Amino acid sequence: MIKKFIALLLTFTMAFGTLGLVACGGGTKQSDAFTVTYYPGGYGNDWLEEFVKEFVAEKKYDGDVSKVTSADYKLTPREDVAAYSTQIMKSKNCPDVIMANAIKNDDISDGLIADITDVYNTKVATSNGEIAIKDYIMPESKMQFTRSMRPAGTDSYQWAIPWTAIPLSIAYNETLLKKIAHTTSGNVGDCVEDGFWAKAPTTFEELMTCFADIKAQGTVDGNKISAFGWSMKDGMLWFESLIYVWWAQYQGLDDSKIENQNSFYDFFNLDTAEKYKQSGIVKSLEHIQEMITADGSFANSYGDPSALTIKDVQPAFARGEMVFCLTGDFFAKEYKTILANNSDKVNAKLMPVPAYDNEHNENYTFLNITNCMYVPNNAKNKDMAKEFLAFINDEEHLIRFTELTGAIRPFGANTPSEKTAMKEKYLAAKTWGDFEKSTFELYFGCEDLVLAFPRNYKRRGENAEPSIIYTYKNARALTNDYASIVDKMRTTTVQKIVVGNDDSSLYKIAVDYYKDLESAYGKYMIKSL
Amino acid sequence: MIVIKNKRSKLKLYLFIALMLSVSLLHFAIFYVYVNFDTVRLTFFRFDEIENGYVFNGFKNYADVIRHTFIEGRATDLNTFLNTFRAISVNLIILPISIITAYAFYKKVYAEKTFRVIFYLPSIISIVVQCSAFLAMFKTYTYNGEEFYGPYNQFFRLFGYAPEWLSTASEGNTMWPLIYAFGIIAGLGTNVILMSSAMLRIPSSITEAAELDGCGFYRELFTITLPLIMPTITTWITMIVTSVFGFFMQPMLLTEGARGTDNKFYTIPWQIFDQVQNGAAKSTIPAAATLGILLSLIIMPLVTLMRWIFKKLTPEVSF
Repeated sequence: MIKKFIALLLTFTMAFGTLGLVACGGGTKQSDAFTVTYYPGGYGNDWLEEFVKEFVAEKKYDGDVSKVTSADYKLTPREDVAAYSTQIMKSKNCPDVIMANAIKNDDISDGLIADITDVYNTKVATSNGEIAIKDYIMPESKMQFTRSMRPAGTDSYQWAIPWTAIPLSIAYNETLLKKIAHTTSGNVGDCVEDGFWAKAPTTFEELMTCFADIKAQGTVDGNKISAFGWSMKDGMLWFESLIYVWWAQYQGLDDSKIENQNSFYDFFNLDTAEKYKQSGIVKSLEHIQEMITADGSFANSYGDPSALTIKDVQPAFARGEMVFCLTGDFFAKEYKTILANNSDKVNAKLMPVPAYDNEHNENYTFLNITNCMYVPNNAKNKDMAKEFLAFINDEEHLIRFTELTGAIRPFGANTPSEKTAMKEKYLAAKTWGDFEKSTFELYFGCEDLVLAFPRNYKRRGENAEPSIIYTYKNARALTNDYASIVDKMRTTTVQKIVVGNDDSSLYKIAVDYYKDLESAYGKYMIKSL
Repeated sequence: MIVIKNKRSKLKLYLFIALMLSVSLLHFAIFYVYVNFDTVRLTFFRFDEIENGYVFNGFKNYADVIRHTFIEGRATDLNTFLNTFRAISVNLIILPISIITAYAFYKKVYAEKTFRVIFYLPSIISIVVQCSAFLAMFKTYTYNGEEFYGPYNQFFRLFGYAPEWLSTASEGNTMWPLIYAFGIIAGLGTNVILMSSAMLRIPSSITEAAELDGCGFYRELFTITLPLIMPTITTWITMIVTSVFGFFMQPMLLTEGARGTDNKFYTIPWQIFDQVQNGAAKSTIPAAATLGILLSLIIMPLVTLMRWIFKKLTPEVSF
């Protein structure tokens, strides 16, 4: 009897175990709700919720937003949405729209992402009449998401649409800066008035003088302050804004300023390791070296950068503990509470990257354009999702997005006159803080944008897409191991780090990397101009 | 014993056995045979972006790892390789501590039960929580220009020792000791329980006889307890060697993801984790598989050797 009972129990356990597994795979029945899985980032989700509700109201309730209930839509925040996009799209609960901080090439090749070329062809309302999204969007941003399903394919599709473009640069605390006395020697341009810093430095030389003054003074209102906030535990993203701008200024953005060398944008064709010998790389890194190191140690820096992450540094900047800090347009929104609590000692603004020198002084802004939205092929409401992507791109929604986030979407500002007009519209949308105003200036006021992107290939008039390495490997120009570069800067020359004979020099690593790529994909790689 | 009365009952019994075994066999086939076979297969392939599939690559994946790590001796690869084996040293430090602690519990020291619970706590608390708490103990906080220190940081400062404990810079020499310390604290609980269980199996008649013969606390440990639990220690030594396969959470969480200059804190399991996690997973999976297989090829003979040595050293014990 006992044995029979045990046998029965085991059989039931097995049966329910199997059923349990089946249930796990199946998930719950998906409702008709419009679903978005999004990367929360530093911009909040107010805008997304508002836009989704409006869109659903238009589709279901003749535009009556008050009728939209939580059963009509579902927004799911996921910090790791880019890393787990494949699993998310393959699941039974696949969302209708994914809003991520990057798009995965494997997902495109595997057919998980829907072609949204028709969204790009959709016309949206603007103050200049109806314009197709493909003509309204920033060309580089469009190119970023134009790809064949496979590298070397001749057909091209649009796979994603950007939801923001992030200007990255140095932020400065104007309140503190104005309390820094100029006591050291060095060029200050017209930044100093009555012996105190009145304006942010406009050249690298002025920045270094300012750092020296901050170091000499040491305190403001009795509180110890540092010159510059950065962190070694993070990758190179935060320094990219400076490095790329200085590199582009020295090297030439589209056309090379240096004999027998290619331009900055040619580098990103990434066709040969020899590009790592561009003088602009060494020159820009030498500036970084001068900024943050002295006598074999880190200098001018907040705390010990080797023990910090950017999540330690940026809040400290918002508390007024340093004058300059690496950050982006999201800063004011992300640290809103800290900034409000320290408003007496912090007035943060984003400044243009100080010019390399007086001869290389083009006003460039580094822009990160990887944040994007796309539609999974597996989405239940695929057509609706595509409509949503078009819905949020008219001028009214662009301005409201900025109103709610302080950030800018890369649309409607492709010519100097359009830039001026859009800037005016954004400025008129509401009463902005100084930080947001400086962000707009950085975005709209710059001479040209610097992107880690092979922009030059289009100039050849060929139908070729960006090189395989760029599109399908998304190679970082200066390796992901940026912490090592910064660390080594204290004890060795940048020349050695970049093009030295050491096996760990950037050039040597690139030679090895390109050797493999050349043998696998050589005939498909775009050669530089 | 089951007595089979007729053919139908026999059939039922076989069906029952087959059903019971099928789950385990299926599990074994999918999660062991398939996974391992596919891992080995992938080491001979590379991902081709144009074909959108894996193409045969011969022994190139192996050749690359061997060339970079052992022939060229690239600092980044060599450091990663050597760091991986630090897991063994962490566990070798744990071994004597856990034996002494377990012995103290076995001998019922004062408040033994309370200590047991305290020692076991790290084993049931999430490693992420433990790491955060541990980091806070050593961190230097700056607030409005003033510096504040975690309790241990503050304690060491009383003696004039004030390094930047969490520095990942090349000259920073406190991060690895912290990783070791954390590894010991977090790993001690389970090992103490393992050793305690082995000690509790020792017949009380043996220890009583030893005590009557005047055997002291330490003598009993070294001449009676240790020899009797040697089979457990041998098994544990084998587990120590295999611990290198899972050595990545501690350095990754304590350095907050900073690999350090020339991969000062990186380990092979951490590298594999990165390679299968990042966006270009398909193209990096063969490299991850190759690293895993190479590590296994190094560890397997080491495990066999250790088992052989310890079997030779261990007296045959049965009680």
